[in-house]
Amino acid sequence: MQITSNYFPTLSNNLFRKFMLPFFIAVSALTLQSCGYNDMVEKDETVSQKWADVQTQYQRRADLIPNLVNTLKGFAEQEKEVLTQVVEARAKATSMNLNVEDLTPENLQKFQAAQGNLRGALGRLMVVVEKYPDLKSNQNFLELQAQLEGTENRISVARQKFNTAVQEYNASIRKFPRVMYAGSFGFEKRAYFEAEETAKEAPKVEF
Amino acid sequence: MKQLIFILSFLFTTVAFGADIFDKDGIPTKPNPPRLVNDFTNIIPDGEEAQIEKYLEELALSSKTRVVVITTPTLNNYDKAQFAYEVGERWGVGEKGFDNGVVMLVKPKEVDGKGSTFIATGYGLEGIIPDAIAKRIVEQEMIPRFKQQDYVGGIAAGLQVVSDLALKEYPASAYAQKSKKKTRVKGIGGGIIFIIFIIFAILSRINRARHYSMGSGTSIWTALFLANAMRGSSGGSWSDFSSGSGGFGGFGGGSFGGGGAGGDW
Repeated sequence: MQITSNYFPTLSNNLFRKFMLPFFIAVSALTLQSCGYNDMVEKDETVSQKWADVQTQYQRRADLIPNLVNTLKGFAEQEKEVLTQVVEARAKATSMNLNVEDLTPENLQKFQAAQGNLRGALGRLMVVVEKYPDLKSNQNFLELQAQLEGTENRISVARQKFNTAVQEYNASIRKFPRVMYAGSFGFEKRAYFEAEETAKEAPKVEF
Repeated sequence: MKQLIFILSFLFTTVAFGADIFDKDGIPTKPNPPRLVNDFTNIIPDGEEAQIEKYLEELALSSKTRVVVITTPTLNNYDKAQFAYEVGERWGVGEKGFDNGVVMLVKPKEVDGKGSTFIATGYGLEGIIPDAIAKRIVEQEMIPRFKQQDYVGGIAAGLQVVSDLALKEYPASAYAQKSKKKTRVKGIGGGIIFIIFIIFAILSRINRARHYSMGSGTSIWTALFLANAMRGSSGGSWSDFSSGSGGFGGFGGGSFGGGGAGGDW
């Protein structure tokens, strides 16, 4: 009787060391996964990627502008003021390059404001050039117009996808139990694009 | 008289389908079974509709480009670009990973006096159908015919150009090569990692029992490393096989980025 009770603990200790320890490590590795660390990393990466897409599309718009301005100069020299506004708004917008780590709500708002300005200036330009019927038959201008319009659509899609990614990410770090430790792993809530009042009021880029 | 018939038929179809075709956001719901031609306004006669459907199915099989034609009585306050994009994105037109889908949207003029059309291109097709080209197709092939109420003619002419372009981009052979890589299965991954982990752990214990002076840490790290390597290689998903049942293999799960162009008349 005494032998068994002495023997049993040593066996269990042995068993534990041989098989249970690695088992526990395996289980804890899997639970860490289900606790969502990897999931949070993935969602965080998606946000970064979507932000890169947003920037690409804004850059694409900025890249179209010099060509557009050059084309218009030949036709609409009187509209220098509007053209200058566009060029200036572009310079301001492109000077703001935000890394995904710097995406605080204030920064994002500034970024959005600069891009919104550019959008407004472009919209005014497009209204002004309506006065020049020659442009309507200029193939170069027509293609730029189509590209610009497409870029605006892409920007809105990229923003929409970014917001969706942020929403999923924010929801994932704020759910229980992750909310208790997400912060200590460095996962913080991210900012959204807000629907712009000005965007709705800005002259519609109608081609 | 022709005008009147048009209006009446629109009203009828709007009433008949109005409630059914749109989801809660006002975007048409994905047809089941999947169809490439979705004529919700009945502007395409049934015979032609079947012909176009067949043509597009063949195009989907030979070029892998999925082209969806959709006519709608209303845009539900969406911009035409947004509407076409939403249809493409929600239905998942085009293959996953290739995003080679096209949505050709037509909203006839007869319902509320403004006709709109838009060709939306998936990410993968933005290169061969750039916005400027899409614009040209809309302005030169489609709208002039739509103005004369020749909807079938306009749609067919537009599709002709789109398919000519698409056939150059994705010849079946290049596609086959490209798609070879993505036939892996996810989900088993976790189980395999676990089993490998256990095997390694047990082996390491046995090993350790034999030469108990050696450290045991390394083999666990080896196992972790192997497990990671395994995980990295399992990329694809089941949806590649199970998507849809149409003659063209279903919509596929493609994604759109806002590319394309349109016009009004």
